[in-house]
Amino acid sequence: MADHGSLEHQLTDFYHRSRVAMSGPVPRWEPAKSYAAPQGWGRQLMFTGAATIFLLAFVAAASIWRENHSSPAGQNQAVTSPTATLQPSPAPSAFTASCKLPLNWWGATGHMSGGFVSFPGASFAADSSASGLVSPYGGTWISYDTPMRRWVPADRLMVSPDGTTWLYGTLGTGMIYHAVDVRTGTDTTLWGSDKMYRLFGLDNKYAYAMLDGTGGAHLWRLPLDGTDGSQIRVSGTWQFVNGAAVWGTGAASLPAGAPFTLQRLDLQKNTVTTWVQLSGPGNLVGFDGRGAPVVQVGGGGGDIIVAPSPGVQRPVAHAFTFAKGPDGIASLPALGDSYGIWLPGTNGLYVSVNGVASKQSSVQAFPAGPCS
Amino acid sequence: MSSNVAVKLGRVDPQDWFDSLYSATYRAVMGCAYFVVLDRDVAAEITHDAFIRLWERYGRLPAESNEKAWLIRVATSLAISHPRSQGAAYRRHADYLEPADPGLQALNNLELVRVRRALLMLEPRDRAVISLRFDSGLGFAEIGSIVGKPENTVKTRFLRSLETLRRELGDAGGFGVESPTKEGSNG
Repeated sequence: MADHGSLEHQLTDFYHRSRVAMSGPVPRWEPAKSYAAPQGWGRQLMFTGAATIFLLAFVAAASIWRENHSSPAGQNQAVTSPTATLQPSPAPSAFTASCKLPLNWWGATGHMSGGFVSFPGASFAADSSASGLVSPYGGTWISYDTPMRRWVPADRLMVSPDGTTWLYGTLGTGMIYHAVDVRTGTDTTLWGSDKMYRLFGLDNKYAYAMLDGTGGAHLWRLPLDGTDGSQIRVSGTWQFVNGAAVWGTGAASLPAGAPFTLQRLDLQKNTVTTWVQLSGPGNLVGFDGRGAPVVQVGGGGGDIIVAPSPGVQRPVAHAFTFAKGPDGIASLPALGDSYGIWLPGTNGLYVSVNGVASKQSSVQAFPAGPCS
Repeated sequence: MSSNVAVKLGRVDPQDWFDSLYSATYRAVMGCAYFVVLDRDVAAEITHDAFIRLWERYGRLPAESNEKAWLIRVATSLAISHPRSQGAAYRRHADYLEPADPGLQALNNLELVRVRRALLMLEPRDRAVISLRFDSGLGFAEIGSIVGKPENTVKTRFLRSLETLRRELGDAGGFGVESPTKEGSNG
């Protein structure tokens, strides 16, 4: 069609000339500048946006509430999205314990919201106190700090087990990490802000990070009080902290299809144990309530297992597809607690107890903390 | 053999890796975000956020990940869901924004202003579909994987968006550049 061709030309020309206009030197990293509060109407828009977020969260919560109340837990009609993939169909098994599971999800506005599913009954309610939380670097990931009973603007991997500290990072000359005291709001810059640390988690006293040096990458321990960090005498690449141990798959990245191996470094004994060894690919997707690693075998959509001790594997879920956020599958989407292992699926929330995963809610959200 | 590969990959200096990736892909990522939000400052924020997320996920991305593709997917997704992409308030302020946008000032071309205005009439996801098709030259399946929609849905939205653009830009005169007196004082 003639006008189609003309339109195509116009669009192609628009994109080409816009690209030309945007050419020039790539800007330096200036995190603080790029996240400066907008001025003038931008500020008004920010408030308008916050109000919109609240309204959308309210509407979404009401919608989900209606959905959950229209059918009992474990028997909800699934899949509101036409793009949802087929999930396993376990025998319905209502979760009868009494607790509230915090959840987070990405709203239509691009910000994360929070709420709770209450058991028994799987009723859902959004929590307005979770809205509008933004870390100083602009990140909008939130998690529920169960010990302190409040939402914090950080991925749950960046909240200490005792709930007193959460971490965030900005990129300056090096990677600058900050520890925030949940009770006082005090912000402490961790040691080594001139270095390009890759911080990957924390316990109640230290953050753990990888830093490249002579001979390869090394594991460092950075005190949360900002005092000098120290190198841990161990080789390998480490990626997660859990249960007085750090865990790693042996390399920062593996080629597609490479066999999966998971190692555990005991931080007290400084001993390394090969905990999981698969003949094919796999991904660490979380930890159970006792600190054992939960692994998806064979990549996305594969079976999920838990490894309570080296070389021992027990089933968690069969052929499971995790829900995705804006940046793909969340880091460690599975969350274990004293009740079971929570799994955010593409069509709702599942819990695995004694090796059987059953759907408990149609809420499409991520566990943001243990059920308590 | 796999352990050799792992050791080799494990020795990549993360700072070098990040710096080279940042330099090599910044414009591509920025462009993808810009063509959805059509605001340079917002696009820069989104691009920044995407790179921060990449850094934080160093070593945690699935083995088969392509970092540039990952960045474009994240930036596009963030741009689609950005409040300023969605709000009617943004459209109301579109006229005010135009002279303040350095990229747009540099263009200094009424025809491009007109196309930009027409694109602002589309939903953010549809703007992403159109730009990924015409700017990046991607197929519908690839676009679907980026915007999170099935291929057929992408095709439908693509055709519907073209119709909207055709309406907004006018179907007479083969979409030639309008005279400044007709367009007004923008640009």
